[in-house]
Amino acid sequence: MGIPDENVTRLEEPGPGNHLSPNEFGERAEAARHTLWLIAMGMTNDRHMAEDIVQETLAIAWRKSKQFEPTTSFSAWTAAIVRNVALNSRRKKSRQTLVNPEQLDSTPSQDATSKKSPINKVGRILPNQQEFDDRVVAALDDLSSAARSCLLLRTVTGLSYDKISELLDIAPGTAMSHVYRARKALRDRLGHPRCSSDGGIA
Amino acid sequence: MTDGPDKKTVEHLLALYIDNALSPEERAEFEEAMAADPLLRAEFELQNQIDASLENAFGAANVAKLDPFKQSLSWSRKLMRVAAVLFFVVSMFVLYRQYSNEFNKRPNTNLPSGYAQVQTTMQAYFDDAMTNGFEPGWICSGEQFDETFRMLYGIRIVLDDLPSNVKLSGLGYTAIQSNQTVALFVRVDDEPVLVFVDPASMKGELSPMNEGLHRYEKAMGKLLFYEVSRIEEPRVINHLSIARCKRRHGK
Repeated sequence: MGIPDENVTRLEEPGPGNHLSPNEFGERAEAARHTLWLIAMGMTNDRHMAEDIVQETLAIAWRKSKQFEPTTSFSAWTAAIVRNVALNSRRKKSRQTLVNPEQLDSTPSQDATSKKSPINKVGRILPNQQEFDDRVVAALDDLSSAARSCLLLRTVTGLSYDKISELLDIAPGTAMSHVYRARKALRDRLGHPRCSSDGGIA
Repeated sequence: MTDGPDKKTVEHLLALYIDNALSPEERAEFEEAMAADPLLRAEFELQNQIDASLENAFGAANVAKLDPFKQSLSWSRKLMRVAAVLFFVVSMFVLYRQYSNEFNKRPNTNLPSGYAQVQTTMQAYFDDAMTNGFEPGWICSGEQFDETFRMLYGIRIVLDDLPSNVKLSGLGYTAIQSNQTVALFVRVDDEPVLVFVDPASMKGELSPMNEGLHRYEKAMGKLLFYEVSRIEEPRVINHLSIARCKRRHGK
């Protein structure tokens, strides 16, 4: 499920001296790499751009590593950088493509919703798993960047809502709400069988 | 932003079940509900499939290994573009230089026979010249002599002060220090004298001379002059001087 929290905690223990040595920085960067990429992915929904963003983030973090307080969270510090870099990249991209930035956050893709669901009426996955995977990825387009980031961090790395809230600088309840809504949106999009949202268990 | 889902809905219970946030009792109750409701069960299975797809698509294995100390990939790509442009420019420059060298060699290949591409020594060239009757490869007038040096080195060699017993008969072309050594065939009181002219920048170690043959050296401007003869003192090079002129590459 990704990086266990205890590993991240272990690597975030303060090292000797007032700032990180190259080795310490390298270890922490390696531990944070996947999480940072997921945040960047959530914000841009573009793998290669996310990779560039993480690389730029680490370059910035290394240049500014003397500003990092070793007793604080390395992943939270770099997450703040990755969010800024991702926002800038997204702005640049939207300027280049002349696409309204709001589209990136909230406009559902007509093309995506019109695709045939791979799920039959009793929720069985059709044989083509790769096709289903592709549709799941395509369905992420419909989510807001915040919801996408929360969903990926929760689902792929299994981070707690508290940790997600720290990384994305949002309230834990907001992170939980994003994950809940994102999961439901994906199930709706991918053709889940009816499940009453206002019903309860008797 | 809103808080978490309403606890009373099935959706909410499903969300909590997926997050493993239900108490054991609530969990058992929800599993009973799923067993009784195939659609609810199918929704749970669908969510599991979606989660599996997300893990598959975005797991750690999907992230490229990055060098944390490297510039960003954007910078790398920019640098790669710059490197490609530089490579192109350097390639063009090298090609130009090669072509230019070939072009510059052309006048030399048109020079009279006697111009040598094979590296030799002053001793060997002198011996060959003596064997062949000390005849220059190219018998030239003063004007042609002047033009040759202007073409090769961009200078004029002033011959006006040569004494009357010093006769310049012509030129030969060889390769001693450089591949365009010019050999002046001179007779001093009928005694054969060769003066080799090479660029000073090409100066290297000289091979020894046989007994009885003397070599005298003089640097003038960017040229080196070596006088080779059996005479025990230099008789020619001290009478030569150079005058700078505009370089030309042939007529």
